[in-house]
Amino acid sequence: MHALSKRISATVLACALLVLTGCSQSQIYAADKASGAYVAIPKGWNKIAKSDLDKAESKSTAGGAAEKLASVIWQEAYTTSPKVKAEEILNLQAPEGAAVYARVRDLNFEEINSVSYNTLRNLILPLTTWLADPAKANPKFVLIDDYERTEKVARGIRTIYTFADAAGVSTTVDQTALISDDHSRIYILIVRAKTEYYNKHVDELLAIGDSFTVRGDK
Amino acid sequence: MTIQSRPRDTDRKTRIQLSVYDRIKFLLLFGITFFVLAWASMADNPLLSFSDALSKTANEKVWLLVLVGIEIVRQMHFALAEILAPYHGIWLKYFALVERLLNKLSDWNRFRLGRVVKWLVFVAMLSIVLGAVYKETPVRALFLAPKALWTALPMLGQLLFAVFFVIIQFAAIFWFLSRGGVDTYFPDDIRTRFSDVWGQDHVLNRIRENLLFLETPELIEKHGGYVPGGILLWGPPGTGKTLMAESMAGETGKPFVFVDPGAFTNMFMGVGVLKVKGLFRKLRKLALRYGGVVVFFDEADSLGNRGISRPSMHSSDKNTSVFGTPCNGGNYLSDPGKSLVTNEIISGNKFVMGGAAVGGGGGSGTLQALLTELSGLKKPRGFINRVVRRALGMRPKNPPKYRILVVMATNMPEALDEALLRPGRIDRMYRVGYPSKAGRIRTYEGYLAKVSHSLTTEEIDKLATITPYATGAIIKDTINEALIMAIRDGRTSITWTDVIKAKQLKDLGPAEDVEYIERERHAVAVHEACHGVMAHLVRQHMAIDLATIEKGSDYLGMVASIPPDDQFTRWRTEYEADILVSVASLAGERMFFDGDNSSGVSGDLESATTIASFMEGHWGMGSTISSHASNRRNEVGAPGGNRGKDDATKDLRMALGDRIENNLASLLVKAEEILNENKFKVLALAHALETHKTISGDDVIAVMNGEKGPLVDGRPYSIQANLDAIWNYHLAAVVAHKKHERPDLTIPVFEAS
Repeated sequence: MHALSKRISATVLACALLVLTGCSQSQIYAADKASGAYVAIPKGWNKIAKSDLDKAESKSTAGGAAEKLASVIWQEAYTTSPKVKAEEILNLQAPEGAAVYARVRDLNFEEINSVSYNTLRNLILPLTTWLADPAKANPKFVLIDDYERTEKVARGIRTIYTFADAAGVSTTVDQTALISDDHSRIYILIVRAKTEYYNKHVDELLAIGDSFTVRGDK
Repeated sequence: MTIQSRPRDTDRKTRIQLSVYDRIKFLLLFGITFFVLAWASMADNPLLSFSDALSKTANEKVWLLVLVGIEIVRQMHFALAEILAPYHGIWLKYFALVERLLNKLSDWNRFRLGRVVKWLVFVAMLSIVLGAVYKETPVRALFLAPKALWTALPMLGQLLFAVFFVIIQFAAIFWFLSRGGVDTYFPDDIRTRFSDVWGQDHVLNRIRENLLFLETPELIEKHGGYVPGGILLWGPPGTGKTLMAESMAGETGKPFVFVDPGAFTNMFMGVGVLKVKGLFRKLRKLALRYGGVVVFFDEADSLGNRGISRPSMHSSDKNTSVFGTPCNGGNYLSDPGKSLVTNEIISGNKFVMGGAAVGGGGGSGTLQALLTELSGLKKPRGFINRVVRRALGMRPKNPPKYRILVVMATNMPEALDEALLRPGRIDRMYRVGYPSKAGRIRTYEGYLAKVSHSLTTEEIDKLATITPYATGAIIKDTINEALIMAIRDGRTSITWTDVIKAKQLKDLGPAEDVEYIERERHAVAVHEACHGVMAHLVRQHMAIDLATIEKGSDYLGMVASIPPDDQFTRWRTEYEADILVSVASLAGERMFFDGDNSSGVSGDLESATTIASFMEGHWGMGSTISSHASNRRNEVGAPGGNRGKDDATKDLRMALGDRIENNLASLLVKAEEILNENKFKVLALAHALETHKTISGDDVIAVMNGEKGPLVDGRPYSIQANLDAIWNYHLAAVVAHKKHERPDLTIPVFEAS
């Protein structure tokens, strides 16, 4: 009888362990499985959904903005502060806390033919021009890192730099732009924060960029 | 010491303990499922850590945890029932109550209720699963399902087509395989008539009767009878069974379906059954369209049997007889008595009729299908009849009377299945035996009418007499061979000599053209002459057909005899004459060669011993009465041996072997006496044989009587001087025989011969 009780207890314990394991995950796993893009975000960040971002982007009056929006396959943003709105993700002003923006978009015919590593570097700001002619550069522009990243089905450039936004606030950007091997699709991950915030949480924010993984279409 | 039994369930206070495996097997299954799902999540997302994968699975697959929970509760329930008797007792009472409530329902109601509950559960489960698939509420998902089914219809259609394609392939293969082997002839397709079948008038009359009933069934049906449905023609090969069937096809005004012997031999199982069904479908159609049909199975033994031994109805067949020919002893016994004797013979002698032909036929099911078609259920047929009428609430029509006459022919009736031959399937069995003399005459006349010949009526009569076992096929072949011989001689007309030579050629085969050395030729001639003289003198029931010393494939010489009349009984004196003829060779060789004899007598002695054995042990022609065959079967011992009480009885009741030997010895002495009295006739006949090699029976008589024969002039053999010359030649041959050299004298030649 004693052995029987022990067996029952062991079974119950094993099951309880199994249930306990399933309480919560350590990170947020943002992913678009169809295009094969994955990124791990620290737990507790706030998500801005694709629909909000699409809505904000649709207000843009820039040339070709509507065409670009139509070719977006996946976009998602995460911020440390719940107050940050979708529109703030899409402009260059330093957000409150930190913000992560992931985007996958198909390129049009013209882009396919013209895309290069420099194009990828100049995704947000004309970095190559600033580097070539420091006189024309942003006053607080500092290139922190720039190296090539190779994924299973894509390759591109990861660039980390600092610049001053329109209000003169120093902002650090960790941008990874990868182009698929057939040049038909671009995978973008931008992590940005005020430089002061960035420096305080550099390890956490670098880990986000490191986790960006592209496996391609399933 | 009493044997302790395992306690019954009703005697237990607690539940029987589960094994460890039974306790954990479902939890193990759920655990493995959980880890497989976690592994799948990790494979789905390369960033996912193991612990996060577990968490994710736990969060997303709640149903699995619910199942785990249910299983834990169940196991706890079992554990408590194993430990606590009161707890177990409560449940037992509850289950008993449920059982009582359920038993209040009748079995049929319980089945219907159960069926409804099962369907409801199935629909509920389906709606839950569909809800999960469509990400909708279960009820809504249930209504979406038909739409999905409708969308998937083309796909289902393709799948069904693929399935049907495979089925159609099979059906097509079997359809093609089940073709062939069956030919249909319509009236006037065949020109053979009953008048073309000769010598089997008694069978033809019965067949004509069957055809009459087939064509005018009302003759018998209005009186409450029915048209006989099957005929079996059986008998030796070449007796005209197939010709008879062909003539039936020619005579009848109904379609005639001919089934090949090989029609039911198939490569694949089941094709034979399809063929039988196809054949009878065709027969029914023809029977309805033309008011009747005749189907003929040639070589019906190819249908095989199912291995059942059967006391044959063909007890007059010499090979399968229980009581022997011709006097069927069974006729004088009661039915149980017959049965006893028959079974004893079959089991005791391991003599199972048809045993050698077990199986065979068209394979599994073919014979059974045939049996069913011949006399099976009278099923309503036709789609409209069976389905449409029933759908309208009408009863299907009874099948019409299909008038199908089944005719089978075989020379191995014992190979047929017993069930095939029962009345209702094969109602009538006719033996197509060797034609009678009148039949043979008619057959000879028929075939001779087709060629040019010079045979007289007397010669044809004689020809029929000397060919007692000639079938239509043999007669046809003999006449054809005679024609070939005539043509080879540059003639177109057949003569008596041609026919006789053709008969000898067919009976004996072609001679080997071996030339004996002189002393051996003389020895063979003396041997055959002894047989010939003895046959001429003592065997009145047989006539000598021919005598020859031309070597054949398995004999050195031969004296062939034939029965001059169709005789059905045999007598002791006849058998004794047979033995005398057989042992004449031994007696003669010893007499003419100073006690020496050749090994050529072995066959003669074998025949003589066999006949003597049967005379003594079977036919009541010896010194005792009891049947040796019966004694052996019943293990009662033969009369004789050492059990006799005094010498006189002992002599009488000697062992069977001794009695046979004594009988043979006394007949040998008698043969010696007869030959000694006729030794010049023997040497005369031997001289005729040495001179002419082969002579006819009439020539033998001519030599014996000193007359002129067809080939041999016997007159010189009545002159003493000639006989002396023959005797001297014989003496010289005997000397040569002893010295193994050529004789001093050459064989004498007589002018008249």
